[in-house]
Amino acid sequence: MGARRWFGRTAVCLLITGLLSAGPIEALADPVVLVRVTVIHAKKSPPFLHDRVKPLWDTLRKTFGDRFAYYDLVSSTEREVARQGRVVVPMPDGGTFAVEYRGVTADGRFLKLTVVHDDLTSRVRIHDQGLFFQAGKRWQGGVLIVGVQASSVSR
Amino acid sequence: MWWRRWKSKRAMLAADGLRERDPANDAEVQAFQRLSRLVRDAAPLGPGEVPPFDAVWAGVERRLREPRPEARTALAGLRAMLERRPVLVLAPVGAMILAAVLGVLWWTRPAVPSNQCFVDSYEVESGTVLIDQDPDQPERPTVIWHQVDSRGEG
Amino acid sequence: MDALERDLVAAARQGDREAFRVLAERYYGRVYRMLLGRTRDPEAALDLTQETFARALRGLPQFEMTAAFHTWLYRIAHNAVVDRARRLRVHDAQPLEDDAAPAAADEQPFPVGPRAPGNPADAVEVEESLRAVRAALDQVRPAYREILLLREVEGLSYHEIAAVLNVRPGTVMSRLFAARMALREVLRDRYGLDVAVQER
Repeated sequence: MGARRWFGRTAVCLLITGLLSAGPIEALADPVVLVRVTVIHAKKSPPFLHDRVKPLWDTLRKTFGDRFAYYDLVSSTEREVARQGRVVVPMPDGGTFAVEYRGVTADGRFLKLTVVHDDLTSRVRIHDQGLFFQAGKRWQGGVLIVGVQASSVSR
Repeated sequence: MWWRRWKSKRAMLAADGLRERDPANDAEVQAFQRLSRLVRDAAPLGPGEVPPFDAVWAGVERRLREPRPEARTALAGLRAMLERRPVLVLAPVGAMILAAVLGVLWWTRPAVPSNQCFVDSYEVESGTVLIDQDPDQPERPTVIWHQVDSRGEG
Repeated sequence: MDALERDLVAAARQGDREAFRVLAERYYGRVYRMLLGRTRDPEAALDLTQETFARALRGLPQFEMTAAFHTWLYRIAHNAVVDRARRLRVHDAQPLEDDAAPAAADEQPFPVGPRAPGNPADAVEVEESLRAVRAALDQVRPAYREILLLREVEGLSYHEIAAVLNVRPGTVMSRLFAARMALREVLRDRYGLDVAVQER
């Protein structure tokens, strides 16, 4: 009975110590994130949907409406990066698309990213697992749509 | 007609001495008083119609000697109620089950990630940048349109 | 509550069975009359009267001396009736005897009591009216009959009736009005006795 109580108290002490010591250190560290960059070639017609774009179909439809009916996958790149890490993707028009992960905001609610596509550099904040698109570059009778998604992998 | 009922109710209260009598409605007040008198006169029992007290008391004492009925457990009470008024038991139980199922569905629903995106700044050397987003639909991804020429499709 | 009654109740609360017996003897007639009016069954009324006093004796520690003892007894009696109705699955919501043929006036469906004023010329007419009222009382819903008896015969105030029936005084007023109107309707439609018509 005494031993059980001793073990119980020790476990509680260890738990409190662990929470007190580990909490702030973890809070200071930015999580590693998985950055996914999906390059899509979109056109008005003919109707087409690449198999690997199908999971995105609903989102594409909601975002672009009936502006495009043709979605072909050009490339899909996934990479885990720590803070200041970059994912660079070659574009079919010869340019490059780069995403740099700049850590989380002070309140921990957003992931900060810098996106560089040719001469456009933008700084954005998105939620964990959030997705946004960059689009507009003309290519082969359509445009290039780049989807960027970032998800934290560890804390 | 509701107003006739209303007047009649006021007359009843006046007949019971709970309101001032309204001379315009006196006939109705008297009708209620007559009714009360008739019931009072008709109802009382004659001396021979009340059972003798000893017979009543014997029954009371017999009951007091009997062991008190055990307090019913909640389950037994529920079972008795289920037999008597099944709807009263089944309706709340059904509602609770439905609420539990809805709660489980709600809590286990697939989380829709918010695609809210804040473009803090951008720099561009040529073309036009347009931020397309709908604040009312946080799940709809933002599109950063970069239109290099005026014929762009964005 | 008079001084004697207060002393008897106090003694009964201390466990004096004889004091309670005196109280029971004082009130059993009224309780029986109320129960008979409600059930229309002398055997059931007797049974319920005994049950009422047995419950009252057991529940005396819970009795608050501020309330009238007889009102408290009526309340117990009312609860006993409700419990019995539940046991028998008899509910007031059932279509009661409204559709049944009116009881013949000479069947004395309602207990007969002392009556009639001294003028022999009016005696027959008065007695007929009273018979009609007894028969009509027999044909309104038990809940209506109960509230009519509590008010007209037992002379309880609206608040006392509310305490007995465990309802709000506003509900007492509504139910009493409905009961009186129902009785008037039965008297007028089935017995040709319209209380709204002036007496000679």
